[in-house]
Amino acid sequence: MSGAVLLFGRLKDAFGAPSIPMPEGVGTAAELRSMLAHLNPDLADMLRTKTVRIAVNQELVADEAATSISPSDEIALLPPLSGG
Amino acid sequence: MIRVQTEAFDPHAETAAFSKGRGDAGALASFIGSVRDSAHGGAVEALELEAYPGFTEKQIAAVEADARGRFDVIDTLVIHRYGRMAPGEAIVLVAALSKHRREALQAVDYLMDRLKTEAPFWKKEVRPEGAEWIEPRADDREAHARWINKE
Repeated sequence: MSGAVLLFGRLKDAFGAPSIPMPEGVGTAAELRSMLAHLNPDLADMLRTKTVRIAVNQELVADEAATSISPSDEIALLPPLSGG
Repeated sequence: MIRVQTEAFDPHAETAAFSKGRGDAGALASFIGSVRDSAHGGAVEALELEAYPGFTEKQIAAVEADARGRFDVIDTLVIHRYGRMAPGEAIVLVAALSKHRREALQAVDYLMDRLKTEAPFWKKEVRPEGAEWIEPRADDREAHARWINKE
């Protein structure tokens, strides 16, 4: 799977980049979350917390296990919002 | 109408333009949020807001649509800045026009309470000793909740 995962806020600082490559073998939003936590053990606690939300094609995901993702989707990891 | 931008804006000129020629409106209410020069007992040199272009506009538009459905307003305006801002600069302007005062005042109050918790921005305070990411305050969440409890 190609594509990228967009990062914002403290996640962008933690990874030191505005996006990271989409890991191989990820079919759902839930798999993306667990795969990223597995690949980045230092950040696993932050990545596993449900206050970090996943957006697919600019829609917030409610049920991550039921949300499939494909290489053409725009994927973003959103840490807790600071608000306006 | 909503606008999300990095450029500085003059909230008074924007409010005047928004209400110009609206003879049908008996009431204009507005709120201007600005960068404070101190927070958590220390000096703030700047505020940096990050947005998710496209998504941020969409989420704010949904909040605006809810306000329009909830209150009998003629028009609403939300202008929100992102990027780096200095103390004293306006971050957000919310305004509402209505026939009578109550609806405009309530629409502005509601819009700000929702934006404080739901607007997709990530905020960093730049202080002399370093920068820190800021997350919603408990009282902002409570301010949002008081509207949900009314539903």
